[in-house]
Amino acid sequence: MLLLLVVLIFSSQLNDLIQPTSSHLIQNLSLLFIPACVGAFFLSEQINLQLPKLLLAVIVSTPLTMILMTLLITSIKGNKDV
Amino acid sequence: MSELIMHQWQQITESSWLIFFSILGFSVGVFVYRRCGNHPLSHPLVISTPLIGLTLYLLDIDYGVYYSANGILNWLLGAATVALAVPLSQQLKTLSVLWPTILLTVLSGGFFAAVSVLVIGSWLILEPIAIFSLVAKSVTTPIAIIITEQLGGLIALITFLVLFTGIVGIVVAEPIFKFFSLHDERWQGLILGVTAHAIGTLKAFEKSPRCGAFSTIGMGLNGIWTALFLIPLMQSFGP
Repeated sequence: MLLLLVVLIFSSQLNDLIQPTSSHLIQNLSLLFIPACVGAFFLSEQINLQLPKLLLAVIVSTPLTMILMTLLITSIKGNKDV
Repeated sequence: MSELIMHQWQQITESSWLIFFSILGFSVGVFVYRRCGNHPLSHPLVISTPLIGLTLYLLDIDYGVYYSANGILNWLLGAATVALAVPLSQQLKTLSVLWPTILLTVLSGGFFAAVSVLVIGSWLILEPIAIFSLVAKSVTTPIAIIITEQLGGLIALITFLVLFTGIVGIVVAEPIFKFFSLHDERWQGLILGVTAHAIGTLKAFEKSPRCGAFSTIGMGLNGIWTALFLIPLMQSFGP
């Protein structure tokens, strides 16, 4: 991915060439996750017991990260819409 | 090298008719999603995976058999990860002066997202395998799968947790921006991209193309950054 990124930054012709294909692929990206995601219903008993804790960790950590980033940006940039 | 190619070839040729469950489920999911006016809680994955899970259960089909039958989809995931570079490169060209702030926010936000779940996870005394399947939760799914695979976590779990993180992210984002009076859509987009990956980016594009563009940058950079620091970090500290 990094390699393609570097190449694309310097070559706009290649960008035009692969853009249509890649945008189709990315638009339907969810389809590719289905097989793995279905596995969530077939997890072992041991993991199922941990699931509430896992969800709790996500529920706590996600807003915390957002607040941290928001504070960081407002302290650098102020609240002005530029 | 030839071993790698053989493995990929095997993955593709293992595909079988069970793949139609995925395609049919996805079609139903997209249909419902559009009907619900693209509401995040009706995301195609939220609709289609329980349907497919239930079908497999009712028809008594083993999950392992279903998973390998979808070999070609799993193989395409690698190509899709690389393809994420395309929108990222387009957005990168549009900015210059904002670089320092963008880099600082993405690097610290991405780092905090992973370390905070790690700390909370160990505090809640999760099993190591559960923590390994949790840390990449803020990263877009194709990259999260690669990271989790390398750490030895469960792919099924991380896909589900990434989806869940995205939904939590877009639900809490608006109140947080309002409370801290962050009105600039560019920075809102960046934050959505870093914390809520593709689902946040989808939400950002609903606000404005500019917001979406920044979200794409946040998601892409955070994906690369997390892959770079998380794998060595986890391997050196262990469970």
